[in-house]
Amino acid sequence: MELLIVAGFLGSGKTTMILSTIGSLIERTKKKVVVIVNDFGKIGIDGRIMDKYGLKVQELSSGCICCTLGPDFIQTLKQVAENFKPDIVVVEPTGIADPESIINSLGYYQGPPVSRTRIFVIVDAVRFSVLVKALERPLKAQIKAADVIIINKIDEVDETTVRDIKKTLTDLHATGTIIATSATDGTNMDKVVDLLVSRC
Amino acid sequence: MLTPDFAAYAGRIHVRFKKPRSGAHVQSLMQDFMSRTAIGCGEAGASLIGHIKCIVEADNGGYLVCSATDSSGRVRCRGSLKDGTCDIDLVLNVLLYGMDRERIEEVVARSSKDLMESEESKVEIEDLDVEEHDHDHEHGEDDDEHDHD
Repeated sequence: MELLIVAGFLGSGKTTMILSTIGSLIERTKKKVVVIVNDFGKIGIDGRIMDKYGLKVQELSSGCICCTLGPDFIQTLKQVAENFKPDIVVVEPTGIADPESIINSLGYYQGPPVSRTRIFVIVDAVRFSVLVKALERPLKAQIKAADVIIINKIDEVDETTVRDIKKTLTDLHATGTIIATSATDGTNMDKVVDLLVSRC
Repeated sequence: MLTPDFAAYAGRIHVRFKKPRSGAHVQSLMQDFMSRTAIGCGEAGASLIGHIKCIVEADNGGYLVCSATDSSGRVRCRGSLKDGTCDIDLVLNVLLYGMDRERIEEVVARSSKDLMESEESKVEIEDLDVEEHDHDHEHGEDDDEHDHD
């Protein structure tokens, strides 16, 4: 079973990215995929949206799986692994989650083995410069943890902005593959799927 | 990313129209509501909008998902509502920095009453965090700082 964590700040487009790629991921790999969604509110919105799109979703609400809901996440992951026997579990944490903390919590996981964990981090091209100034350290933590960094919403910014974001990511010691996309108009979504499918 | 000035509000808004409304009308109303809420939060002191998002489900099967990530008033929506909508259920999450939860609640209440309550429609707001809105988030490294860093 593979774990795919799709992280990124609030409003960066995590749910849209999952919705835009998961169909192709399933089609190309023929593998069983389950999504675990963590929303901050008491009634999860993202899980409901995915449900509308026909996805099999397990929801965790009223907190964040990288801290207060860590044990719940581990328990949910174990249940999902045992009950559904998925090949891939896609995890969408809240936008304030530190992916590294989620990875650390996996140390307490005692279910069917996880063969590989990958972290995709979505960054919002429109607000990136503002967010780097306001939340540099936690944003840096997300970026540093990422195997793949997806600069999303590039349909709303110019090329110079995208170039500047890439430079800033490099300055922040990003080591993951960087890809610029728009989940809304489909730009480079095929490349994201290629990355998702790689070595699945 | 939880700093002392982070605030989260979750609410459910139920709107009942006396007469069936067109999907386009209700959709426009929802966009205006989200837009006004985002602008209102900015005016009320939010230093950074994290995410204001909602899912609207109608009695006749339509649904709409709307999202705002700044206080400019720009709202992105997907999904659609059908003609003949009499009743909608809206679940709203507001996650932002720089203003307290009570102020968010006031902004949401004002936006929804101003836009959606009339002789032709009735609005009920339910606070979904009423028992547990003191989010005890344990991102220790940021908890004692005020500059988000």
